[in-house]
Amino acid sequence: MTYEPSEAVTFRQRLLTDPGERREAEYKAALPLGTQDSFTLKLLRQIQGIANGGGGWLVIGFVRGSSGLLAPDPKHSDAVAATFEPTVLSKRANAAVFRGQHLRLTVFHEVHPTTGLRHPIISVLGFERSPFVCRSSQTASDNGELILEQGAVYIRRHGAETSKLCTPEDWDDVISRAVSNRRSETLGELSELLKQMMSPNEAPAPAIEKLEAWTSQAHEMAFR
Amino acid sequence: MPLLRPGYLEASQQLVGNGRRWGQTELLRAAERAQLRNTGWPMGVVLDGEGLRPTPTSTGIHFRMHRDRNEGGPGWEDFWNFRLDGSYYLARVFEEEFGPPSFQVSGGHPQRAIWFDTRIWRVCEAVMHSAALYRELGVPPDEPYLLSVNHGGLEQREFWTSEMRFVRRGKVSDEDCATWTRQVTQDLVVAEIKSLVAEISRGLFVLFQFTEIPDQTMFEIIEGFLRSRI
Repeated sequence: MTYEPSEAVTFRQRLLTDPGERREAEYKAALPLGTQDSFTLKLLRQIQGIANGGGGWLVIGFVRGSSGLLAPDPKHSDAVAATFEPTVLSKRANAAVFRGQHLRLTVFHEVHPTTGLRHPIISVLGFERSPFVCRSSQTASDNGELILEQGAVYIRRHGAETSKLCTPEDWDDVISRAVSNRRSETLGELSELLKQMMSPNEAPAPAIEKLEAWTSQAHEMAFR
Repeated sequence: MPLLRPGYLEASQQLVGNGRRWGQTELLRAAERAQLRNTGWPMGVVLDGEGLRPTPTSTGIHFRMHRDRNEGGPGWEDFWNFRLDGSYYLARVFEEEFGPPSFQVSGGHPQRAIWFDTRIWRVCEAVMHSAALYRELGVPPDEPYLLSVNHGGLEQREFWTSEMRFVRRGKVSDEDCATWTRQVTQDLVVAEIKSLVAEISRGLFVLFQFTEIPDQTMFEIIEGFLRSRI
């Protein structure tokens, strides 16, 4: 299933009803958004990896069952979902990348058709000009694990794994994406130029007054 | 408590420096052909049933779709007026006036709502329809015209959604009207429909306590309208 903007709602529902991890989609257990715990720091790392991999989705409130398949986490609740407040999440995610870099995140709260519970679905857009770079090293408060490393560039690979950029394939992937983005930017500038050439000049003031008079007259007729 | 006006969208347009005139029948044909098929109830709808046809007058043609006052709202839902010089005006009462949203949340839903997703669709339709009207009148695609898209009856209305989306409660407008006017051409409308709709919609939503819709959501909704066919 690929993302199609006009079917965004259906797509998000299917992320819940047909869960499956892949490069663009990561599923996380039902834990609240915190600050320095291992769950939150790994989430921030995955957000950076997904953004550097071209964008994707993080779905909260799913675990693997004994069969190995993803299913709604029995511990999930609306209270957990409520901690994924978009402004708070954006603030924490942006605090974890270098100053001047801004991750583009949107949090959707989709209701699971079976459980009736809201699941936060975090949409992460790919980087625009330069890949996101981790700002500082951070160790988890609950287990002492070093999760974020200063200067690291994380990437989400095929096989749904997020790690530091290190192989030639990783570099090739990121460089290709950056070149493609710059090309799109140039095309956008050309499009803007064409738009300016195509735009009519400002309307003369009498024409605007004439339109206002017409609108007012017709409005009176409509609402009498 | 003051009487609050029903919510409505109105769009008016006029050719700039125009000396041409069209007959009532030409206007009717253009209005019929300009209807967009993206929704089941197009803006500028032209019906053919007994008592439902547009009315010809000495200045042009006009149409009003009445509605039972018992359903809520002002007793009508659509009005348009097409003048012999090509000036066009349409007003549509918000769908929000005629019933509750299709879902509820634990906190209930607003008594007087504005469904932002529906508004984006309607703005998109109004702008596209303006270009379609002049195309059908044979106006050249690069000829400028003035287009105005206004929203009224916003006071004490709460920002909300027609679909199951996460919307924070309590964003209410103290302002009653949002207006937008710009000189455009049919070519510009077709090429820049997304940015035009986004500009008009943002000017409306900001009145609801600075509400902003992310570009991604805005463009998803506009794309949804453009792809829709009934």
